[in-house]
Amino acid sequence: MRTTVEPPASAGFALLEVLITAVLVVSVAASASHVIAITVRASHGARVRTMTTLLAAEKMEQLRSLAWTHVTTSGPAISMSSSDVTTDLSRDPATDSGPGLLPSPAGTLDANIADYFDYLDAGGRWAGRDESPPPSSVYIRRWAVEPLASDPENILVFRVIVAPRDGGMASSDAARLVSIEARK
Amino acid sequence: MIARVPREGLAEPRGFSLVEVLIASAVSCALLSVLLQFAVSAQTSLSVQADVADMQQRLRVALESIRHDLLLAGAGLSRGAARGPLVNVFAPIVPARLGVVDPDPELSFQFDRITILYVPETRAQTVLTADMADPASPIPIDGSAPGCPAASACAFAPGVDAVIFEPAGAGGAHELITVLAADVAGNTVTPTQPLSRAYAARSAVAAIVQRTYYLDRTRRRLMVYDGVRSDVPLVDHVVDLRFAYYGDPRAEGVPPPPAGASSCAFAGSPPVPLLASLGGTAPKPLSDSQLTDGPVCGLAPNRFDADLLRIRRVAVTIRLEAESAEFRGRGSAFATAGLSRSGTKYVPDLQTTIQVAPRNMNRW
Repeated sequence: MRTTVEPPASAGFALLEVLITAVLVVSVAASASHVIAITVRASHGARVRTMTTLLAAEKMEQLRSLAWTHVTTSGPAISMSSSDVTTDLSRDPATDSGPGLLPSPAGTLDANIADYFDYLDAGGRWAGRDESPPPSSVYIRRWAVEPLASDPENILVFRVIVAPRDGGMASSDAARLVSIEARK
Repeated sequence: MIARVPREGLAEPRGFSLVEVLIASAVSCALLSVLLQFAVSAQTSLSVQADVADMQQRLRVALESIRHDLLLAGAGLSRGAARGPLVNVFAPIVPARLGVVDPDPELSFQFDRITILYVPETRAQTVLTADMADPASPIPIDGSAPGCPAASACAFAPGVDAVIFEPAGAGGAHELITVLAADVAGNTVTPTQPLSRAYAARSAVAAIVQRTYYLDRTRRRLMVYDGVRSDVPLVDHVVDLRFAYYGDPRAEGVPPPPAGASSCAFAGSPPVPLLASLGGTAPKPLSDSQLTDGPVCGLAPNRFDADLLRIRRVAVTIRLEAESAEFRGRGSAFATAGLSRSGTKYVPDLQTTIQVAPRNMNRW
């Protein structure tokens, strides 16, 4: 006579097991969505930093395009310095009623000082220069023109800061550029 | 004979009750529904982000390439008697396509094209030691000019693209050549084609970089042409490209002629500027008519408008679209209509303007 042992009963998932599985799956999905949200924020941040850098470079190029040269004539032979002291770069297009490359007052990078700041919209277009920010403005840009201490007559230091208006100049998305221009 | 013996301590096998099956099904359906929505939105979001990142990258490539060449525009010979920026002789920034293949007419203006020229500092550069006998004769060069490697025809070699131009104050004649042969022993360079004229001694000849950036509107590509052979796409899905020019408003804001000479922008002695004053000192926008109506400089077939010499800043506006039509919708945010009808699958065109002050355009 043979004796067999009955196999274990194949019980289904209990409701508790299904719920635990559901909780686990939802947790994983929530984590994944958090990662995606971080990716989206990083992409947006990269775009903002690209924009602030481009806008800072734009002002730097505008400053560098102003006359800061030596003019030489051959008859009679004369060499004299030529400096732009009238261009207002806080307007677009620039006008002839500003300080040009005259040394900027102290603190133009820390506060809105007339002729040394402007506002820009989300696409980087000029939006205004009044003390109260225009509704379309997204970025604020400030700059400074400083003679180099060791050769103030011939070398200028340009500093430009651009930041999202709602983040302030201390924002991690702010772009800061420094450049030196020497008379040619 | 087989006897069934139940295992001690185990429950009797049983199936699911109807209630259990219904609850489990409901929970599973709800779960799958959430997961499906999540998977779809995650996939869409990641695809959109990938397209946005790709668009930003293409924007950076396009702008950085143009910016690099604009910064160098006008850099001339750095050694020897002919050293100095190209703007002393001819316009190194031209709002048109120049070159051998399909060039724009002289003195034309195309808002979506720009040609930039500069002499690389480390490449061949020297002067002519004698007058050319005729436009088709080999060009006699100074093989021992400063910076020229010994016994090398000043590093000129077959295939090198070069510019030849007369000294400042001699009329602004210039043209681009491609070297067919370089005679090391005789210090001569033979171009692939006869020149338009015979150049005089002291004219300069130097390896040149020429870049024409233009928009292929049909294929929506930013193209770059080297003036000779290479005409290749740089960035795809570019739907707009515009160049704007800002110039020194002063009539005397262009290089004066050397002592005793005249130029297209000055006349008389002492030289009096011929260009119109635009008022003030701030760089002013230069219109297409201002850049084509004269005074005319140079000699055919490479004449140019004297106002090109007063360029101090170039604004470059470029607009790119998402690569996939799936992410482009309809309306003013899209230059090319796409298939998107959803707010989540939506990547509007990206438009940016940069400004560049060419470093060699305001020094002479």
